[in-house]
Amino acid sequence: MSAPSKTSPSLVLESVTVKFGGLTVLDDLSLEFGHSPISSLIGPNGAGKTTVFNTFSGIVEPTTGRLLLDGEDITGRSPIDIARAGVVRKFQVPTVFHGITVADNLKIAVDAPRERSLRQQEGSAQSWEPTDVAKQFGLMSKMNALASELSHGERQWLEIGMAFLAHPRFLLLDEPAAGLGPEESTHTADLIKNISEHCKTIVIEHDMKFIRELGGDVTVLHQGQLLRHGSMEEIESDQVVRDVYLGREANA
Amino acid sequence: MTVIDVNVEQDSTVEVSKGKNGLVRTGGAVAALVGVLAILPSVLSPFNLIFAAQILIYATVALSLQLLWGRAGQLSFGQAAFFGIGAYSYAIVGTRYDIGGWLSVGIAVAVPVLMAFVLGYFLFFGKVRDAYFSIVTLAFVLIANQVVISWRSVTGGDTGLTRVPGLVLPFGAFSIDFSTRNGRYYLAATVLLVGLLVLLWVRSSSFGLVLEAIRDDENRAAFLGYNTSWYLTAAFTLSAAIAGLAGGMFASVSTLAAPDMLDQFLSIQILTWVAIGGRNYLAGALVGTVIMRILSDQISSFLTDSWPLVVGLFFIIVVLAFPQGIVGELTRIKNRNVARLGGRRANVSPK
Amino acid sequence: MDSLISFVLNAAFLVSILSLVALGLGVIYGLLGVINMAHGELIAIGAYTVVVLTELGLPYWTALAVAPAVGMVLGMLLEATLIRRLTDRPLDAILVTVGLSLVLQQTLKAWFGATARSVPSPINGTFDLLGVSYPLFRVMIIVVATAIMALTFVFFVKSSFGLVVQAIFQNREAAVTNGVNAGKYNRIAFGLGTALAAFAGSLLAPSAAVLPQMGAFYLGPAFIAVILGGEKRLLGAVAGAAFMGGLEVFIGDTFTRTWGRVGVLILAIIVIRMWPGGLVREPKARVA
Repeated sequence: MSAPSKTSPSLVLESVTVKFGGLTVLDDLSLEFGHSPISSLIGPNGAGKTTVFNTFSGIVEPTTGRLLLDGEDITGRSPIDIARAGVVRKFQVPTVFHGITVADNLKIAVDAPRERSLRQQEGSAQSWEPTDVAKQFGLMSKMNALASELSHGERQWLEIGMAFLAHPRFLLLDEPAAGLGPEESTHTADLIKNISEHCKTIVIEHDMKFIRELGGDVTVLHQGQLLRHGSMEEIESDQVVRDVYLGREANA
Repeated sequence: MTVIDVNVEQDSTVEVSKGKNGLVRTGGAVAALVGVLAILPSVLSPFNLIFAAQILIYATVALSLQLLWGRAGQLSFGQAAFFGIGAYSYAIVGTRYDIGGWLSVGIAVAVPVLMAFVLGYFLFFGKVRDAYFSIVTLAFVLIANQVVISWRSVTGGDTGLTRVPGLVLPFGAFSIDFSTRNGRYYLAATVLLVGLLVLLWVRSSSFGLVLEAIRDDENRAAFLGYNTSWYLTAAFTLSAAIAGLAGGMFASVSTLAAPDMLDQFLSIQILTWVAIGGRNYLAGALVGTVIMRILSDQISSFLTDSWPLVVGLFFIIVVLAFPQGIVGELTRIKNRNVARLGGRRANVSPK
Repeated sequence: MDSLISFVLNAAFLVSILSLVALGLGVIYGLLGVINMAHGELIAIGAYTVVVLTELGLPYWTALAVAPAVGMVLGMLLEATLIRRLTDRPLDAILVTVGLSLVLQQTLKAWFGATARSVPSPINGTFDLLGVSYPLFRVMIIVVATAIMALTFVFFVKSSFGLVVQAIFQNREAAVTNGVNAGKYNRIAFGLGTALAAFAGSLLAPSAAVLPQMGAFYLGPAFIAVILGGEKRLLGAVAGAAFMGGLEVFIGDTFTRTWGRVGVLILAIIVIRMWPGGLVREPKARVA
């Protein structure tokens, strides 16, 4: 089941600048994801983390610079086209379809239209069924409940599960542990590690313990620019990072 | 891969059995409806039978609005426009070009479908949704009404078109005459059943499920890769097809096409039928139409001209006090009782 | 040349009325998120106020001042009783105000009958512009309507009330957390919107048939003007009204009035498709 996909996927920002009015949110930023199964994106508030995700998913169009998926220029494509190419997103505030059942939420995700090449890819996440995911995420007993009846944690898992079922090559998870208790958080980290065997996963989180649990490489943003990139150990021992970010966190 | 065993429950049979039960229940309800429709001609007076036929066709339009509003979340004032365009298309080809049979049915559907597709395409791909969509559909019905009234040479102006021929449909060697009194009733009943079956199919299809998802959170659906504008355009067009069919057959059943089949007030009335019956339920559209049409008939017999006032008051009260409508409230009460009796869980309806 | 001048004057007349109506709708939608489907009846109420007062022997000019006050009070009453329950439930707000529109229309019908009433024109002369004579009263309407619009804008840009309203336009939640009593502003804004509609009605009264359903003619184009203008932009609503009114008169003069209506709707829908954000707008993040 855990056979690696044949092509090695890559998702790249190439000297991307994003400006809102006079405000520069991303400043000539170049990032590459895909080497590591799990990558974490951290940085103080306003560093541009969510804007990176918004750029990847086509919500924000770069003012200058390019966006590449497996070397193909996808700058300016619509969110729908980018999702169809396999870049799937979980939002900061869990968004699921609250008026339909959990089973139907998962069905919609697994039925999501995809580019043909993606459908035909073997291994990886493509062969998964909603019940597999429901079992993994502990949602089996809630399959017939409306999504609006779920707890916050369950909603987080449902949305991660949906994103995972939607044939991702890249899974972008914005604060998957937000609002979760310590046990739920650990469980979520395990789930993400698990699915990252099947698709590349990029996570935005504030919770350092959670990122340590995830493993993988870490990218630190600061004021729309790349500050550091490395393993969690390297990042945590880096004096510059400590000054702008972790130190502040420790003092708080 | 390693499976983390958390809360894995062998509960996967639940959905299958629920689906089966649902199918049996729906089948039973449709069978009961067919039974009632079959009995009516032998119990109703000839006058009331035509009245009943008109209600059945109105109910079909209400069903078509339920698709757009209840399922896809888009409130349209355009229903009367497509109903009226269907009626006029059928009446014009019947009275002026002597076209009848399947072709006239096809035209009554095709003209509204074409208009809905073009309008829907421009609106939905122009990011017009929700309240703005409602307004544009309102403008559409106002203007369609003005066109029908001022284009006298074709539409007959204020008086409309009278002596619209009834429908005779050939099936191979033989044909069914829907122009007799009972025939007109059976035509109406057939239209209702056709509309209902199409919409029941939508309800059970993945197309219908995606529409519900779009209603709940369109952006989420788009970020999964669904082209939501196409889905909404398709729902709008299908809804217009059913409304147009109903309109064309209404012209056939009542032998006329008049401007009040294509006006703002009819659109508002269709909205009240669906709202009062229960916007989230197909049964709601049926129940709401039957109740409101009978009530309209009763009230206008002693309070002339005050029906719009009653509709207005009803509308305000229902939306503020019973947003789920009659069927929604009944479902809630039933579920509460089931829950009290130890049932699995109360199925609280969305929104 | 003559036809050009009469086109400009006719268009200016329709645009000035549509602008007042659209501006009222825009203020209400911008602040409360409510599409007021009963706006047309407030136009009629403004016109009937003039009918009643002039029949009592009061001069038209007095009625012109009273009508917006009636609209304002009625609007604030409606907000306090019905609309208050509907902020941020846009579709339900449409339904309830549709119901309200029927109730108001029937009430007007019961009170004043279904036959058209008329108001004598307070100014009878004509105005000669480069050889084209045009009713002086209509010229006055254009001038007064433009002045009221300008006043409304000054009010929104300069007064402290207007500045708070703009803050609520931008970000309602932030404004509320900063201690703005949104309820109070909702009520005043709704009253202001209905006052503008009633004022439009009182301006129309002498040159139109006063009927309970007279507002419907202006409502459709005014709504579309608000959409064309772009969300929450008052200046946009006026730009939209100029588009709708100008083209309607142009196409209507060239072909027929019905074609004017149909043509302008088709063009508006094409514009909406091409510029989804409206005619007047800032660059914004793209959402699906």
